Amino acid sequence: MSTITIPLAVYPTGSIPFGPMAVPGGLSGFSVTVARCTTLTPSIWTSPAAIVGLSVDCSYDGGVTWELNQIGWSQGGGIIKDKQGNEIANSVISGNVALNGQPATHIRGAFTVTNGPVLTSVVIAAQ
Amino acid sequence: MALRSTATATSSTGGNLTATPAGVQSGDYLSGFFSSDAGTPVTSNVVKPTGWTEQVNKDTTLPDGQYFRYADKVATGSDSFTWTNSETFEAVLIAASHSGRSGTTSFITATQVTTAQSSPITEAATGGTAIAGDDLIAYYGEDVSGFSSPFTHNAASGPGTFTKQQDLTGGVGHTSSTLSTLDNYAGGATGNVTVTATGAGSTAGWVGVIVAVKAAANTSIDSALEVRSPFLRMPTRVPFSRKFIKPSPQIIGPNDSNIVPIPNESVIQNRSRFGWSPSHRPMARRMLRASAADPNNTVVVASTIVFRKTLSSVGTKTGSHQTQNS
Repeated sequence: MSTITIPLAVYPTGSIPFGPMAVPGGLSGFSVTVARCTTLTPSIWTSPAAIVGLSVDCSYDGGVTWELNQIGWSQGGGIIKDKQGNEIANSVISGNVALNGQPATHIRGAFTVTNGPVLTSVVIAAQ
Repeated sequence: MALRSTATATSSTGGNLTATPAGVQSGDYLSGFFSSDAGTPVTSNVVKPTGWTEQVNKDTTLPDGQYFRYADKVATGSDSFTWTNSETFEAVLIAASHSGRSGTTSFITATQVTTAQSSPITEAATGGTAIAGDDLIAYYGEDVSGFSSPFTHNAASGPGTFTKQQDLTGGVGHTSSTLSTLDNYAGGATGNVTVTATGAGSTAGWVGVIVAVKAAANTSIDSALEVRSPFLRMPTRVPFSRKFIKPSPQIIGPNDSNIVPIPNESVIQNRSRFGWSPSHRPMARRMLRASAADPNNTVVVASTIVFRKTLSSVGTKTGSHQTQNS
């Protein structure tokens, strides 16, 4: 498994690139985990107005050329609960891509903060 | 003329999602299926990408509450693939790009069951009548009401062999979707298109969206020619093959200046697709190549039909001839 960790820290408005990294099993084993605000972690990504975004580029030729922003996600902060009323400690984002039946070989991307700063951490894992 | 690429994006906490198929070209048919868990769906909470047309809205409060949307677009090459979503529950998005399409559909159908079904669920979605060359797209999604394990799907089955392109859940499995496709359908009524959704111990309602996308106009013409019976195209083409050979008043040999070589035989091969009779190509090649290939430097003129009139006019026997070149 390949893992990139953006550690728990305060991130100002802006963009933090990550990768490129190989995804030997295709993107089916790709996930990004972003730490969220909970009652137990009240200082993490507290504001709904603070937007954390993710943009992932994919390569199908070993990292020579790239398809931009194939997988994206963005959301505001604050406490989120599931249908049972449980607080959710992490947003988990995943994706899967195929071009002419072939999976991506590499990914790279950027983690962005809008209306920051935001205290959070990000883990990008591929296997 | 086929599925080009697919992409998915999922989130365990909702939010805006982008799934951009790779290699999209202007004119491609783009499809997107968005599904998100919900309590009581609010239409304005989920918005299709800019420039897309929302073809299906099957948002439901039963059995559990779910957004189900299908939208499409003809690609311009600078297209948005971002679904705006202010919900905070599990969400999944599948997008696909089809090349060689006209941008119009023969049909789009949506079938919905809002009562909780026990796994395995047979999801038989109503199809429609497609024309030859259509690509069939089959999206399914579940509104999971009782959860034990995530739903997975087999490939859709129906009027032909579908290929499962994507099969995903939104996180722990309260939302799930799948995409199957079938390229260049033979045409006619599809009947139901069915998948089986399996999630041990789980129950769900479901939506199935079936789409038949028409081929681009030039693709349809080519397809029509290829399926023509060869018996229909031969009679009208036979006389044209004679134009490649001028009659000679003398004994025919490979260096006879009256034999007009075909400068580019690939032209003939290409034309055969549009109606040339392939049975006449070997005759022309034999005439032109015999001296080089025959160790006895003997030319065999095997076709009596073409040369009979010319040879008889100079008193030469008709039928097969052999002549020795100097």
